Amino acid sequence: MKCEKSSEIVAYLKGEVEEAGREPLRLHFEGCAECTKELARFDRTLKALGRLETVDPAPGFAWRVRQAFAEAHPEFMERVRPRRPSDSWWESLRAHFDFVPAWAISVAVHVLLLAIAAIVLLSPRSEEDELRDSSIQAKPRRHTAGPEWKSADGTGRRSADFTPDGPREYTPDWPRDPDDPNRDVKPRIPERDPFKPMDPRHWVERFKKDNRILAFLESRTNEKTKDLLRKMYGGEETGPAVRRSLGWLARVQEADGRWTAGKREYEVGLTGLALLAFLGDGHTHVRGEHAEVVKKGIQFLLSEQRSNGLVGRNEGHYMYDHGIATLALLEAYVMTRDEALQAPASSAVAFTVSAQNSAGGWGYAYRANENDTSVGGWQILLLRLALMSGDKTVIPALNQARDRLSLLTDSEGKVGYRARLQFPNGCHALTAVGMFAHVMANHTPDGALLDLQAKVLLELPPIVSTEPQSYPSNDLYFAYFGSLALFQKGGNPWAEWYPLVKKKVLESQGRDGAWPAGFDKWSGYGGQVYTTAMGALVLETPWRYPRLAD
Amino acid sequence: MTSSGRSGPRSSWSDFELIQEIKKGDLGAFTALVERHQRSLLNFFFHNAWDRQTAEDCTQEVFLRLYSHLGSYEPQAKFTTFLYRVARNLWIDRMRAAASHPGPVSLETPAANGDEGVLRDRIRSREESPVEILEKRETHAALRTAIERLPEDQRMVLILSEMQGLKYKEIGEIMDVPVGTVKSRMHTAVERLKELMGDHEV
Repeated sequence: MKCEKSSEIVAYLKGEVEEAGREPLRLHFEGCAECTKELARFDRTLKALGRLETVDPAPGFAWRVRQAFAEAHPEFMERVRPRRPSDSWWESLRAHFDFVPAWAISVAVHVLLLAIAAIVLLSPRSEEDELRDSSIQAKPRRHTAGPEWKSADGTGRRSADFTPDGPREYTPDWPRDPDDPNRDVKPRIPERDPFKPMDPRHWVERFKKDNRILAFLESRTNEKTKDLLRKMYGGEETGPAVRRSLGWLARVQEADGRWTAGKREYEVGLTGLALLAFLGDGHTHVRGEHAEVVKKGIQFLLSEQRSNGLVGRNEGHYMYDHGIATLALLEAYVMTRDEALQAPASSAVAFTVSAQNSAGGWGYAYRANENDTSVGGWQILLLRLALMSGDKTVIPALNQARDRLSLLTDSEGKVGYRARLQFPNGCHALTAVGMFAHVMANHTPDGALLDLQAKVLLELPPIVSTEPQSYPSNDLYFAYFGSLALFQKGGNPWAEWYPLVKKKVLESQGRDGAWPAGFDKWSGYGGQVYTTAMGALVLETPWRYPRLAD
Repeated sequence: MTSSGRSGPRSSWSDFELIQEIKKGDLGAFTALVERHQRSLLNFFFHNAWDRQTAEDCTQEVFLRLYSHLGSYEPQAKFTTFLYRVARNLWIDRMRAAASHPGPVSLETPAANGDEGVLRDRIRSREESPVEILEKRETHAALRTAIERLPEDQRMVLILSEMQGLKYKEIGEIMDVPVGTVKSRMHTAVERLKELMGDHEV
C-alpha cells in the first residue's frame, strides 16, 4: 500500500515544494519507511535522467539558421538593405542576390557573359563596332566587365588585367650555398603530397600567380616554410618576437573576443588588426596554439556584421574597420576554407564593392565622395584577395579603384590623400599605401612607378627612434605598408629598408611582448593593441604574402 | 541599417533588447539570439525526437517562426516561455502531420480506452522489455525507450522540467495548464519511468 504523501516526492526532490511545506514533508519522509524507499528510487531515476545524452550545436549552425532566416524573410532583408534611388539595374540585381553564394552569382554571370560573348564574337565586326566598344569601356562603373576572353584573331578585346599571363620564365632566388656561391641549394622537387603543406619552392613552378598566393596563405601554418622564407627575405630573429607579441595580444583579448582600446570606436578594426597578426603567423581558428583566441575574435566580428555585409556599425570612420575586419575574415577563410566563413566574408566583400564611390575610391562612409587613400588601400587589398579566392564579381570595382589610384599619383610617384598632391600628414605613409595597392590592383605593375615610389619611401625612416621623445614622429602605419610595398619591390630598396625597420621594431618591443602604448603618431586611436598588432605584422612581412613579381 | 544606443557586445544584451534590435532590422541581434538559445532548443527537440537531424531542422524552424510571432511577444513575459511555446507548438504540429500521414499507425497513438497509455504499451510483450535491455547493460537506451513510451503530455513536462531545467510555473505557462497539473504529470512521468526501469541500478 502506497503512502499518500509519496505523490509529493518528485516535487520535493526538484525543489518545487513551497518553503512552508518542505519541513513537514521532510519530517514525514524521515519517519515513513515506504516513503524513504520511494525517495531513493525516485532520486535514482532523476539522476539517471540527468546523465542522458545531450547534443551540442554543430559548428556554424547559428550561421546556417541566419542564412535560412534571410531567405525565409525577404521582407526583413528588404527593410534593412540601404537603398538609393540612383541604384542601377545591376545593383538592384546584386542586392537581390546578396544572399546567394558568390560562386553561384559568378557562375550565372559567367554563363550570361559567355552567351553574350559568343553572339558578339560570332558577328562580323566593323570599325564602328570597335568604337562602340571603346565607348562602353570609357564608363566602367558597375559594368559587368566579366571574364577574360580573347577574340578569334587573338588581338584581344579588352585588357583583362587579371588574366593570368600564362607560363613565364622564372628565376627563383634560392638561398645560395654559403661555401659555393655559384651553386644554389635548390632541392629536387618531390611529388606533391596532398596532405602536406606546400613548400614555397614548388608552387612557383606549378601554380599560376593567384593560386600561388592562395597556396602561400595556406602554408603560413607551416613552420618550416616560414623559416625558409625568413632566411630568404631577411626575417631572421623575428620568430620569437612575433610569438611574444601574439602571446600579449591573446592575454588582453576581451572575454567576448574583441580587442579594445577602451572605447567602442575602432574595436572592430582593432579586432581585425589583431586577428591579421595571428593569421599572418599561421594561427587560425582551427589550428595553432591560439586557435581559441582566433575563433573568439572571428565570432566577435561575425556578431558585429550587419545584414548588408558591413562588419561593424555605420558610425564614425567605419570603412576603416570594415576593411580591416573583412581582410581578416577573408584571410581566415582562405587559410581554412571553413565554409562557415564563406558567406560572411563574401557579403563583407560585396559591401566594399557597393560602398565604392562614383569616382572609384572609398571614404570613411558608404559611398562617401571624399576619397581617403588609406581607407581605400585596405579595400583594394581585400578585393584582390577576394578575387584570388575566386570571386570575379569584384573585377569592375578593382579596375575602377586602380584607375582612381593612378589619378591620385603624381609624377614623382607620391600618392595624395583626398586628391592628387594633397598630403595633410606627409606623403610617405600614403605613398606606401598607394604603392602596395598599385601592386595588388595590377596584374603587371608599372615598374618605373614602383622605382619612383621606392625612392620616396626611402627618404624617411618610419621609426625615427626608440626613445620616448620621438614617439610622436614614429609611424607604424608607414612601417607596415612600406614593408609590404617594398617587400613586393624586392632588390636593393627592400635590403635598404627592412633591416633597419626590423631592428628598431625589435628594439622597441617590451619584455611582455607589447609595444609601448604611445609608440607612434596614430596610437592615440588604437593604443597598445594597435602598436602591438602593427609591430607583429611588420615583423611578419617576409612570410605574410608572396612576392608577386617572383 | 540600425544603430542602437546599447553599448557592449550583443552577447551581453538581454533577450528583450535583442528582440527590439531584431524588430529594427539588426540581423546580428538575430544571430546573437540564435547563439544564446540554440543549445537548449536543440536538446529540447533531441529529447523529443532522439534524432539529431530532426532536432536541427526543428530548431531552425523555431527561429524562423519566431520572427512572425515577435509582434505578439510582450516584454512582461519571460522570453524563454515564449520561445518554448513556439517550440512546443511546432512539435505538436509535427506530430500531427506525422499522425495524419498515410502509413503505419504510430505506436504513440493514445490507446482507445481513455487511460494515458499508448498503443505501444499494448504490444509491449512483442518487443524487448526495458528489463531485458537493462540486462544488456544499455541503461541509457532503456531510459530513452522508457521516455519515448510516455504519453505526449507527460513527456513534454518531463523534458521541460528535468532536461531543460524549467520551473513548474513556467512549464504551466508554456503548456497552458495549472501548476498542479504540471506537478501531477511530472510525478506520474517519473513514476512510470521508475517502474519501467524496475529496481535495477541506473
